[in-house]
Amino acid sequence: MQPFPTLTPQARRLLEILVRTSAIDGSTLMKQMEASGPADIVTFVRELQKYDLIEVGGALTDDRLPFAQFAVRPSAKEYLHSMLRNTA
Amino acid sequence: MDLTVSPDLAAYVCYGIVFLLGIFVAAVQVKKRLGGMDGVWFVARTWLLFIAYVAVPVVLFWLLDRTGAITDTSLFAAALIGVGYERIITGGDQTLRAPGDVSALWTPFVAYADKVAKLVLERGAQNKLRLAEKIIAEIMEVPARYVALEAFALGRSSDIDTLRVALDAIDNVPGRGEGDKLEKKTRHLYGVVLSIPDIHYLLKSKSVISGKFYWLQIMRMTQLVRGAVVAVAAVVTLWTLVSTYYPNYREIGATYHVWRLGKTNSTSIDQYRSRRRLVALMERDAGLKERATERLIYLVQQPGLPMERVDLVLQTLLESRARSANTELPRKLVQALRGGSLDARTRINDVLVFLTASCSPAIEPALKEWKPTERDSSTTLEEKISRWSSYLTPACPPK
Repeated sequence: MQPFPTLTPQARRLLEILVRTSAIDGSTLMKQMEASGPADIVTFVRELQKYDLIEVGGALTDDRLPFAQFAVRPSAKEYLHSMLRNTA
Repeated sequence: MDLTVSPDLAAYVCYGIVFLLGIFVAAVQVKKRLGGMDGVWFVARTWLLFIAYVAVPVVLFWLLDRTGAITDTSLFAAALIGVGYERIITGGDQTLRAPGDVSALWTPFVAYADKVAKLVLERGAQNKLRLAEKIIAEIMEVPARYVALEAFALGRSSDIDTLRVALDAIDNVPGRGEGDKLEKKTRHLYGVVLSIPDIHYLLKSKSVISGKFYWLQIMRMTQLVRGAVVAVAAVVTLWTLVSTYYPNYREIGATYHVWRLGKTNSTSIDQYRSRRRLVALMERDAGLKERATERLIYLVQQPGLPMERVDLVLQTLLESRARSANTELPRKLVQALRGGSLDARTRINDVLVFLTASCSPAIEPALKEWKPTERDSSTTLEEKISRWSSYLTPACPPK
């Protein structure tokens, strides 16, 4: 079994939100992350994308990120739960 | 769970239970996987995924019945599969396990569900962006709407100063026209307020967007009305088809019960139920009785039909005849002697002897005492059938 990736605290928090909600839009995600703008979360979104942990629908540009959709893959949910539990 | 203690219901009831539970579980699955997305049920692919989730337990129920793991008249099996099919397929259920090949099919199904989820995600983002453009255009149409939006955003903002600075920065960019500035500011403010719960209703109540726009675009009344029109058209078409080609439910019922009588993996309660209902149906309608009799005679010749089923079919034929005389039965049953099973042939010959007991003149001993054997050639068999037919016409004429 592959070891769980090490995430920055903000990326982990973002992932926790996505695992909890399954799917969420960019504006709500920004609010839940208490971000003042798209730039505050885009780095962490890319970090999670790098490890193939989340799915993103739409563009990650400043003007479009609020309308983008973020989700965890249905089949990966159990893995992500386990990852968050074991790396707490 | 011990499935043998389950109440035994008609198979169509159990399939109905699996289907209804499948709908419920499919809705939960889709909600669990895509539930956080706005307007997810307006994306066609979501419905495709939903239908796939509904189909899985129904197919699994059929398959497990075929393989003999359950009977399709078991209420407990129907409930267990309807609710817990995922655990059964993945091998997590202690009571039932799907055959290995089915478990192997689950992985591509999950991959397909992931793919659809991704497509729905893309489509959702696209829809949201389109809606945003429409909302921005709606606000820019009337200057008062922008004023209302700005007041609303400033009123809701936790950092008014930063918001003002951002708006001033847009205003102060040299070379930009008023329309361009208004669009940029509207876009910025809309992005800021977007995460407020129930934002579009609030925008409508603050007159930032019109009521018409809210109902047609945000609440998607246009799509709902379109969907309702399609649904009504489908119902009307179905109704017209049903009224035009009115299905004979008794005929369907008789076909169903004949099938149940011949189905090898069925409980004794189900066999009894089918026999009773089939006889009742045959009693009510002479034409139906004739067709059902032909189907039963066809069934009794089926290769590999267990002897207890041959007996059951013959008992059903005799019972239906006893309840409403059918003088055609012996003539039709003679043809069933052509069936491949020797035991079945012996039993059919016994029934023919029984049916002709009151006919005059009495049956010749060669037919009465005939015991079919493997040594009987095809010509011997045809000769017996021919002698039976020749005897029946004058001795037991149709009345």
